[in-house]
Amino acid sequence: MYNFAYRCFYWQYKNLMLQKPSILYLAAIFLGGLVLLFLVAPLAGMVLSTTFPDLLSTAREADVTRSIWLTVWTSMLATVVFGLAAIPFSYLLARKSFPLKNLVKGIIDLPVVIPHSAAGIALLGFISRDSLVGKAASWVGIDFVGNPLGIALAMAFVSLPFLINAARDGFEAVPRRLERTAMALGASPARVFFTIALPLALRNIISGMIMMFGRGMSEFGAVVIIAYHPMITPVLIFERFGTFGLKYARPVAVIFIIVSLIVFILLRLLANKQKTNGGIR
Amino acid sequence: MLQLINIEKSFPGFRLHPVNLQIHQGEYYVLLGQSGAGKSLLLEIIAGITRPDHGRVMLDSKDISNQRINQRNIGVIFQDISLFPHMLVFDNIAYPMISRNIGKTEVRRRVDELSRALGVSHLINRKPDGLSGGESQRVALARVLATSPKLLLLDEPLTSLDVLRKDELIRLLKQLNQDGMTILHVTHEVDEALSLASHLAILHDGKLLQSGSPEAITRYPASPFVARLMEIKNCIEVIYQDAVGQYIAADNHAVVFHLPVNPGFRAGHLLIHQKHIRILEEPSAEKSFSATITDTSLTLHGLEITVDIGIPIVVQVPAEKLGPGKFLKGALIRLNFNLAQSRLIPIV
Repeated sequence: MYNFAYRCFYWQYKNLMLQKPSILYLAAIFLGGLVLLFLVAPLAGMVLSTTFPDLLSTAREADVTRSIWLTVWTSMLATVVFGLAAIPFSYLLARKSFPLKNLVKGIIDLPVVIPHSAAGIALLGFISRDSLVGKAASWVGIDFVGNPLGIALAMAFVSLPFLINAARDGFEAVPRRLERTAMALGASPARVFFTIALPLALRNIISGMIMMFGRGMSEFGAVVIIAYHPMITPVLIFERFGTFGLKYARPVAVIFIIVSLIVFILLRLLANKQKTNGGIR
Repeated sequence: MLQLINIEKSFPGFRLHPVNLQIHQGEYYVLLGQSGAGKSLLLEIIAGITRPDHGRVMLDSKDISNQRINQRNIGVIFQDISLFPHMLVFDNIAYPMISRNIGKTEVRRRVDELSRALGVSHLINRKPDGLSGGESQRVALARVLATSPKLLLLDEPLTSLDVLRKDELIRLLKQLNQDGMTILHVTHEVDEALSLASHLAILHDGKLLQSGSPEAITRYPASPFVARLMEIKNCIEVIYQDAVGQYIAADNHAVVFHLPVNPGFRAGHLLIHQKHIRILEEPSAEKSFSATITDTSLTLHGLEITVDIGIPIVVQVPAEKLGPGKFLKGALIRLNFNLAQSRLIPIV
């Protein structure tokens, strides 16, 4: 044991001496450590200050489980439905140049920079019962406000840029010559898209969808304005904090973080497996 | 079968001048030119990737200028081969057939047949990224042949290959051509062009300089540029001098060429192949030049020496003349020009 510790120490020492650490390098390590600590410490503090029995009893509450399911499926719905529309659009952005393209790109990034409460208010005006869209929806019996569909819209609004930008990057990385070759081999533009561009950009697209899904799940500002009820978990956390205080809000927050992490890791693993399997055949 | 009529295309800094060319059924047509000559552009125009500003592309007397790339039935292999990296070799070869809605069993049969014919049947279940340059080229050929194209366009297909693979592929391409495939092959390598072409055309700076059989072009280059491309190393600017009644070198009036016939124009380029210059053993009565060796270099055809006869001249030394201590720099020799084999091109 002693010997091992000594060797470790000696190895580290030798490395440091050999590399002749520069001030910049040391400063970067120090600052990086501070940043990491800043990210990890609050989360770790929250988890550590929550007892296991507290977690267990909170996890059994119907309100909590219901809100978590609602959060997961509304975000999933937003990702899939808007993904279907956004992926061909990303292809267009990657491949074609058209007038005002930079303006269009700017508009896509807009949801990232505007306050999400403001986004919620804008969206509320757009889909409320008095608006054109709201009226059209109410004819078919849908009322977005206070409805899971409204929640999905709010989530999509703030998270779409993540998918569009990732998919666009993915399509841009597909060499044009492969598409030209496919065309020369007799494939129609649609076939080129589905057999060449889409499979080759799939990794980026899936990664973008995971980002969009994750961002949608964590949305609070826009959702709370469209639909306070039914409650998604971020709203539930906010409500418990406002009504009962930190101690009661904490277990829900911890549970939601754990659920988010599990979903996130599972999706990532799935995406990686897709890659090693080699995509389509 | 393929006809280009007045094809023109301009980009900032480059212009494809009106190009007219005709490729007949069963021909192996090689388009030779240096990089930036516009060869690949011409290929892209024929394939339908780039639209010409003017002119028409005719295939089997049908105007295909407005047809889309996927409807032209012309096979192309681009310089970078472009196998689909996410598909197995099998799926690469099957790709064009699936685009044409051919049944599964037929696709399997054709892939099997093509991969056998091109010697890639052992690679069928591999992804393209582990293949060598020669293997990739064969797979690309199998894939493009699966479309049963009327015409095959090849953009520098031999560039990425080593010498042995090159020979293999040249044999394969010749075989394909003998089996009836019409091929348009674009290259910057003269050797490659001469060993494959049944018809040769030379493109330079967006202009088609000369077109004809390879024998005709090597023997009768139409311009100094073509001559240099055909490795004729002596291209001497001459002017006719009435006082002497002969042509003299423009750079040195003391150098006189006694041409057997007088073509009758004032100025021209005299093309003398380096192998058509004789090195004389001893002083003779023949009209000869005294020359000092200024440089020597070894080529695939043997030793080449650069000599000074008042102007620099390149001479190929025949193998039987070689020997230790001979043809050293600074040595004095005598030369006789076989001017009957030379060619005089007028300067217009």
